[in-house]
Amino acid sequence: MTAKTHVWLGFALLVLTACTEPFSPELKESDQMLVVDGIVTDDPGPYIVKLSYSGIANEAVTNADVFIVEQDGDRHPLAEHSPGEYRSDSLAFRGQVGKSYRLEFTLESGGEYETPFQELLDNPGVDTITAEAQLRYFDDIQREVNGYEFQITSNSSENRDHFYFWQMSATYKYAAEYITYFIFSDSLIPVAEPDQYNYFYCWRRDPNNPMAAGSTRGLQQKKIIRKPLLFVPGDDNKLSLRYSLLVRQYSVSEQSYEFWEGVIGQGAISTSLFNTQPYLIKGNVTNVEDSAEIVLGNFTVAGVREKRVYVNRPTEFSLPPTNCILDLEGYESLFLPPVPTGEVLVTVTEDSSRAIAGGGCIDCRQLGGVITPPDWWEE
Amino acid sequence: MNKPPRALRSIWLILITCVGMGSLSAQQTMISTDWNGLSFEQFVQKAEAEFDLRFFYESFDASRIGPAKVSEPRPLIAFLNDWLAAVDFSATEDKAGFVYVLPGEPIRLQLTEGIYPGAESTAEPITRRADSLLTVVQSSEFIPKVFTVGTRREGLGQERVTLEGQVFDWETDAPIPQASLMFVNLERGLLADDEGRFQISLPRGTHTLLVRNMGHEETRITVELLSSGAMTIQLIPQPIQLDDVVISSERDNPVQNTMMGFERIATRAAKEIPVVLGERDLLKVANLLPGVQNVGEGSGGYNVRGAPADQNMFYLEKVPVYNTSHMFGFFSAFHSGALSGFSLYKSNVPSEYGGRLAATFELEGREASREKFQMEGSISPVTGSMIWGVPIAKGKSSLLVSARSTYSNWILRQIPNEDFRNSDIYFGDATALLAFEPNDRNQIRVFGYASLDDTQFGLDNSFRNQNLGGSASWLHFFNDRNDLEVILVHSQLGLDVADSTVRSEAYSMSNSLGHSEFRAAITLRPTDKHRIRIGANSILYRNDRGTFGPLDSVSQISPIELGLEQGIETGFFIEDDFRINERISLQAGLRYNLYTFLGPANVYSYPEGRATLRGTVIDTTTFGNFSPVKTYGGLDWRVSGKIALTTNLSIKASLNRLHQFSFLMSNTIALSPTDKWKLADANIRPMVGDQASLGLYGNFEGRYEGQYQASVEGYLKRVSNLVEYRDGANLLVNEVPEWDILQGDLNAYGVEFMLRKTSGRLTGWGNYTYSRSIVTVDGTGQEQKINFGQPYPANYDRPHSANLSLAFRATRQIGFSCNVVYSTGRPITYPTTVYYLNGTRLVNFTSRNEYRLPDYFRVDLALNFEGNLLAKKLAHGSWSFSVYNITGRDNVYTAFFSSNSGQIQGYKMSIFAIPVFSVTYNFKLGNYDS
Repeated sequence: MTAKTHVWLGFALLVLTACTEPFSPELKESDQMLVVDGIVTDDPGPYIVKLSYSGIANEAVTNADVFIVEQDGDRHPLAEHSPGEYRSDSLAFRGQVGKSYRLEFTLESGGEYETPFQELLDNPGVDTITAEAQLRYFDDIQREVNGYEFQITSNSSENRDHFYFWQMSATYKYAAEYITYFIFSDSLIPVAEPDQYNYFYCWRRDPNNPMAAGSTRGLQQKKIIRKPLLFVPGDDNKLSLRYSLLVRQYSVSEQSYEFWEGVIGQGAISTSLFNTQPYLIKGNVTNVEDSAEIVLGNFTVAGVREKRVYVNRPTEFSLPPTNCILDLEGYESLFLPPVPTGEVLVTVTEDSSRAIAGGGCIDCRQLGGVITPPDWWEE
Repeated sequence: MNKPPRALRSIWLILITCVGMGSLSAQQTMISTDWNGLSFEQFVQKAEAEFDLRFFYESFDASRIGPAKVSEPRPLIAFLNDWLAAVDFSATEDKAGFVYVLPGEPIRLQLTEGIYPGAESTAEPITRRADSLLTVVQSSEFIPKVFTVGTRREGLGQERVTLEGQVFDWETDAPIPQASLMFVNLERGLLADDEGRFQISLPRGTHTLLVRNMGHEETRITVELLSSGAMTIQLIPQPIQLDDVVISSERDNPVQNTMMGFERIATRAAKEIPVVLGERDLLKVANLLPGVQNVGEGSGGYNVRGAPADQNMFYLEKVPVYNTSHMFGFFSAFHSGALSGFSLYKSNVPSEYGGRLAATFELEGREASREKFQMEGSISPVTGSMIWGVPIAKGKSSLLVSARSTYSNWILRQIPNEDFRNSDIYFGDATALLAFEPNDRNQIRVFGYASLDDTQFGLDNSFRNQNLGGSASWLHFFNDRNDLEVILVHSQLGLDVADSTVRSEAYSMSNSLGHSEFRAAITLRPTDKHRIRIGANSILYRNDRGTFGPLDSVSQISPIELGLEQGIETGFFIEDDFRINERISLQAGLRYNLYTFLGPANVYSYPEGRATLRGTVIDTTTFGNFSPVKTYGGLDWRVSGKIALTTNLSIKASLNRLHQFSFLMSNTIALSPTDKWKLADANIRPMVGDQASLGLYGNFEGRYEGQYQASVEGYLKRVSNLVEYRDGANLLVNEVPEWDILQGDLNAYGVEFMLRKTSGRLTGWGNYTYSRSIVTVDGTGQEQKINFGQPYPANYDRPHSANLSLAFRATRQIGFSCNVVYSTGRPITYPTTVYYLNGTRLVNFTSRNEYRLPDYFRVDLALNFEGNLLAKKLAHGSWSFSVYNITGRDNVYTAFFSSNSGQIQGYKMSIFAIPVFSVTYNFKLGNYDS
């Protein structure tokens, strides 16, 4: 069970006049701090540890000596694969459930850092991921939106508390409104087989990787049941055709769980004064000589399982209509200087006139997707 | 004498001073040669100071009469008449000690009989009141105070007519003997006879009649005299038992008493002050006083002089009220109509109160009239309320019952959010006060209070909070000087919360706090110089920390029993108010607190000096029910002194130390309604607070005497063992509080400037406060520090704060009021660094409360409109229209950062960012003055 803020305490916002606006206070950038982003799992490697300094620039920490150390076992060196990114040798080392690992590294400047040993815990795996239609209010747009809430149910196994965090990645298929008949690229080229919908369907990976955390602490059964992971609003094209969610479930130590739970919680929107003060969330990396140094990030040891689900266009609620306007004059102007750069897709209307359109109405790629499905995609 | 300003000249009579009641002796007052050389103004001041006289005079050019020439002792009035002859003015003294200085001959202040031989007396002698009401139109429109006497037809052709009448006490209907009547425009006056009757011959026309009598309100009546006729006059007794008493902080004159950091607000203050959502809220007025801050709009809790809200105690008719707000802080849990006012002690809390470091709010219940039945009510957009006042034994006892309830759900239905539409808010409160005075020696008051918040939010959350309390007090006067007060109190706070947002983790939680108290105190006044109060009190706390368990059979939550904790807090106190002489007073008090934390308890022990964490537990001891676990003793002391520099200027200083044995477990920015109380225990030490303050108090002299008061108070305070919480502590289900608690120090200081106007048509105050409140938690080792051991501003630290609160009574029916509120924005923690983990961009927070929200500024306006002022009516209504935040400034309530789409975006949220208009209708049985 997670420490939950009471949603209903948002009641303080009961008043109709509450409003939320973007706000950019002047912030002082604090001193750069070392950031450690590393994880060892029971998946095959390589395992990646990224060292950087905090800040917009995300400056890489290069030339460090980095090791993953197995308790009563080997020290596995990590090689710098790209600036600040250190990788283990996947042939030489794979994490095993039941063994304990820690991270040790020495910076080029001499600082020596380590974490405590953490056991690689088994992961009972994900039972189901369900999507439930919900109506949810968004403060920033001040209206309600229909969408799917994805919920996770884990498998239960041995009778101990499990601490999880989940990382999600979503890919969705969507479509343009009109079929491409011609491609204008210096000249007008007919598309060989327009009915193949060449530029009609796209697949896009959502750039966000939302996370969630949950544990079985305080539960009678050591199992997560329908824990909300993520809400996908239906006010854009994400749910318009087919949506696929991959959930990676990390089974971690209680300490790592507290870290991830804290980090995830502080990233969430908080509009109430009934929230606690945000604070510096400390991970498990310490400077061996100077325990007061603040090191951001965490070295996580986790048993990992994942599950992918697909949902089709929702039937529980209607999606907003697309708003496509064909541009007939725009088509004519293709042939007038200046000549457009790149490809322009042209469709043919019901009355056989030719037209172009923006906003992904003909060329689905304009909305960020690609026209080839990922290898794993299932229809 | 300088000419008074135009505005004052236009007021026909100038009330020079308001010194108490005059003596009724009409014997001749003599002046000596000491009076020689005084100017007229000085003469008047001296006469008023020495002889208990009140002067009324029309302005004239005093330079024309020169200084007084008193060569031998002379009667005052005779001398004045001689002196004033130069300007053709004269002086007349009436029986009540009022001296009228007016142009022309001395006014005839004589009994009515046969003094106007030229006037025809056409009326029959007045024998019964009803018969005397010959021609007073609409019988008794006394409130607008315009009487029409006679008819135009009858008066046709007559130049002088006779007016006769009788003066009565409005409440008892008894005739008032020898009331003084003056027709101010005619410069004619007379005294009524022993039966209150009068008769006078006057020119036809409209005259202004001023009627006065000792013990009654001065009444000004406009008489439209059309022909000979009669009228009755009803005078309202003083002191006025109405609730609309002028805003004041005059438990005593602030210059003369020994109180520091003290404010008193009568219910009238709340009545006139603009409101949000139409809800009159007496306690919210506290936020307009110097040294009282809050965290944000609509947040509950008062931060007095830089202290957390749980360092305040609220006593409602002696009942401690632990939850003081409804609807999560938007409204206070007290119905203003059932209160007569409140007192706020910000520095030297009386010795009989212990257990809270920052402030004590004493809310006084309103007593019903012991003479007549009262009923009143109000309707606002969110609540309705009723009050019934029932006399039980006439003159001896009465019962006042009040009830208030909300019907605000209609507002929720308007919100474009399904969770709100599926919500139900209910809150209400009720009080009953029985006051009983069997004889002059005994007073008994029995009071009951109930308050309930019951809220269903969306389909998944519910919240129920109830307060029940009662008190019985007996005040016995042994004689004029000594009395005994015995009080029995019980208060019970209960909280139930249920949350089923995640069905498998749906939980319900309940807890309760009981406070049972006995208090007895004797007040002794051995001499006029001492007032000594000695007594003791004892409180039993039963804090059921409650249960946390599954809401239903679907829920997987394992039940957790947090258990009962108990404590006894006993105090012995002695306090002396010592008036050393006219100028110097001293107040000193001692209170010894003995607090014992009682079982049942499982107490963990930790190595000395180590952090109290799960990992450092070395031993566990189990204690049975009521067995003492840990005892703390603490001596509270306070001393304050006053030195009057002049009669209108004094300087005061005070020092005190107090102990607090319980606290509210809260780590949210504003108080959360689910916060639970916790008693000091074996591992959590009681808080200790010290405060020193110094102040200067002045009353304006001269023209503004009695109208303006000004004060400056500075304070310095320190709280040790302040309870703070480790980062990320979960206080909802907290089995072992000491694992999440760190104790640190609070340092606060400030200076408060206050200017008040206490009388006149315009009343109110303006104040400015500079204050700081800094917390430091710097234990040994990182796990015993907050903010790396560095000091940080408290959530309510708002250095600059200024408030203006004014009420203007335009007419008896129409009043305006206005608040202007400014303060520095509250401190806030903003992210200081950005970093990436697992491909996700994150923000990092380092220094707590390093930034501030933009400044807060708000202007509110209200218009109060009384219905017609007819005397004989079944019920009286009044309307209040108010606009909160009339400039529509979007004061930032909170700001937050979200990395929703990979980008870190700051957002600010405002509530009440547009002018909020509301209207309230109030009604009561009887007329305006009922």
